[in-house]
Amino acid sequence: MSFRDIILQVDETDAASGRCALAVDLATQWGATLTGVFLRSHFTYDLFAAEGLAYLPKHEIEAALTESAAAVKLAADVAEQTLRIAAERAGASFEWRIIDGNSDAALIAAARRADLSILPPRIETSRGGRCVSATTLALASGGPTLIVPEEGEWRGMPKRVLIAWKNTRESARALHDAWPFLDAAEEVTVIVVSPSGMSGTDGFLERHMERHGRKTQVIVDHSDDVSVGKVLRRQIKALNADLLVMGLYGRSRLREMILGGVSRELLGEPPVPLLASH
Amino acid sequence: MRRVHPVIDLAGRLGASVTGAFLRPMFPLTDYAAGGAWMSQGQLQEAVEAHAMVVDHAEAQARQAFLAAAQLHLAADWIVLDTVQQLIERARLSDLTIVPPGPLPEGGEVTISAGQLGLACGGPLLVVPDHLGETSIGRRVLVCWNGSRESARAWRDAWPFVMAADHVAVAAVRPRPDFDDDATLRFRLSRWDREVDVLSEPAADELAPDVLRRKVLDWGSDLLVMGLYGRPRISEQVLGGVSQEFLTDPPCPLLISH
Repeated sequence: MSFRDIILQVDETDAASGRCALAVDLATQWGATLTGVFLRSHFTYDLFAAEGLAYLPKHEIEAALTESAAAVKLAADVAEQTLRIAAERAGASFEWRIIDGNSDAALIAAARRADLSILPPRIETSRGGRCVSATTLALASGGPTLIVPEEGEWRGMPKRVLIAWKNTRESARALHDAWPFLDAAEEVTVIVVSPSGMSGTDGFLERHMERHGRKTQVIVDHSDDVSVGKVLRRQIKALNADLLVMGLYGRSRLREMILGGVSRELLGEPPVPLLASH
Repeated sequence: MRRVHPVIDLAGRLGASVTGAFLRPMFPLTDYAAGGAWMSQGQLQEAVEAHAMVVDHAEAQARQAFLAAAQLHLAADWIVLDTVQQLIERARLSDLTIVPPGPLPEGGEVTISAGQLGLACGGPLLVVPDHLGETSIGRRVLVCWNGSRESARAWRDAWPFVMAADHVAVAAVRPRPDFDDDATLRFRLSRWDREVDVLSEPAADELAPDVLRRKVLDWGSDLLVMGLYGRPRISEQVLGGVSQEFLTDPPCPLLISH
């Protein structure tokens, strides 16, 4: 299994260039088709409520609409240029799509038809019109989502991968979805955070990885569940990991809080690129 | 046990190793009024021992049949599990879990059906009907598609099957035809250098199961890939949500994912 179809959200901000560079690197290594998507927003509704517009003279409304459309077009061009620069530097090609950003539907539909979605932690439509969290998309897409931090430079295939494991369906999902990354990595470490001190996997985890021909180190951490986010951050630093793989608990906020709010805390501000699955 | 041979054959084609899992039925306490409190210690002991003996015998038979079938193709191992929780955990640490339709033959107080296991295991589940006979699994793969999260999931999980199959088709059964999406499908499939038929058919949601069953027969599918929904009543009507009906009486081997 590998990824053949990758979509990447690109906006007009500078932060998008890092994400583009990483996406181009990954697509090149897997021989995948990279599709950049730009979320087009319509007229900035929050500035001019529909009723407010009604009191403006007709030509002014038209001028405002035209100006807004032109600004969005410009933003789309800037975004495409950002991806083009990254692709040309690597001698790679890409596809470009402008999709409707006024609801999550178009982006979700695109993500469901791709093998991997690459997103920032917060997805903003052009000119800051709307904001969608990557979590929402990862829960709805039915596939893996790579959330790339806006800070730091992430280039090339991740070399040291850390997998956060818990005996849950979400962890299993994330592990299965991560194989193209795991196959290409140099080092794979699994961390099991277990206050009771029992790893709970009885060597089955190691055996599963071995059957994939993947040597894996398993670390059992005895910290309390409450600090799982901290434990993971510490471990990422200690291992100098450049990818974290974890399941997303989407069923309820309550459950997530019980589980330590790990996903929420890490998703908002991931220290390294994060592969999330639900 | 009749389903072992085609499964071993499939594993051989996928280059996978196979673990046979036997779930030991618990002593059926509920079959005894008041949990057997009326029985003497001796009687109870006897009943428990008799149950254990029957289970041991069944396990030995199952193991023998499994290992004999598995020997033909590849190294296989055998595990005996005592609880449903152990089964779920092992399923989570496997790439694919294969079960018969309906409730798993485990008895006792805790039962689990194929559908529940499919929701819990976080991976694809292959449901193989008992009446399969000598037919293969996964040579003619039919993938259901309706654009939902679950069908996106099922599709992704089906890639190893899609790549190993002789023929692949996609069944897009929707209330209204969606030519744009059909074209997107073809385009996406073309990237995998796979010849794929797109069988698009407009049909009302409540007719989707019938349409699908007919397609399975007409096209001669030996593996149907579909999404498994966790909230049946809401999305049961939608294609892919027909999974509950298919789970109890699959027309052919079924690959489901949630």
